[in-house]
Amino acid sequence: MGSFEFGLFCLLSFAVPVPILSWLDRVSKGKQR
Amino acid sequence: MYAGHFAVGLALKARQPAAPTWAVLLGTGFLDVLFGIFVMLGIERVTMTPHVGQGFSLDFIDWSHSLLMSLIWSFVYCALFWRRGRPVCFLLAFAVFSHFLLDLPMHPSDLALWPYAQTHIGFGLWNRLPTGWWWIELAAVLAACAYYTARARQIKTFGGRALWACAVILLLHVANAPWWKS
Repeated sequence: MGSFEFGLFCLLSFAVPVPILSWLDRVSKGKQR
Repeated sequence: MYAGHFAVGLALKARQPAAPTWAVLLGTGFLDVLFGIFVMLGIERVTMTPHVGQGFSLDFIDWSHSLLMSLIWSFVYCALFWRRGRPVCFLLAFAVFSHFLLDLPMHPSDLALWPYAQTHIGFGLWNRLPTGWWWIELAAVLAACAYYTARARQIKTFGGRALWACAVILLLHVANAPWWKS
């Protein structure tokens, strides 16, 4: 792996989990807990 | 530190539920997002060191990870969300700066005080405890997730699938274990 690929890997490693974790954190308004 | 940043992000969300979750999580990883972009642009430098330590050497990361730039990026990030109110803005600023605070014990001395400063800091647990750092980060992940899930049960406006979120973070931490790298 070169520097460019490592930079891309690092960027994706920190960006990709954000929408997944945000979705898991959501509370559906129609589904009161 | 990797998964620990996300775990702290969830804990900060639990501390200030009005803050958008995506913004908190992006904030805790913001310095590494910048690092990735800066490395691709050739502004910062990393050398790959297969089978040695973490497998890479961070040769120049002053624009994304120095103490001064961490504070500046925190201020910039806060300013982007100023309209959400002061508590959210300050929480997001701390989310960004928490990245520096969490990296400090793990990194070898590659965190500059400011860009091109002679003095670099870092307690070096990655090198001093080649596998021990993983357990220390695991403790941080578990503590942050315990706080997040406990607050989610109390407040009920976030953490719809809190345990699943923590499971994903634990999975990321397992994927980042040193045993896979040797």
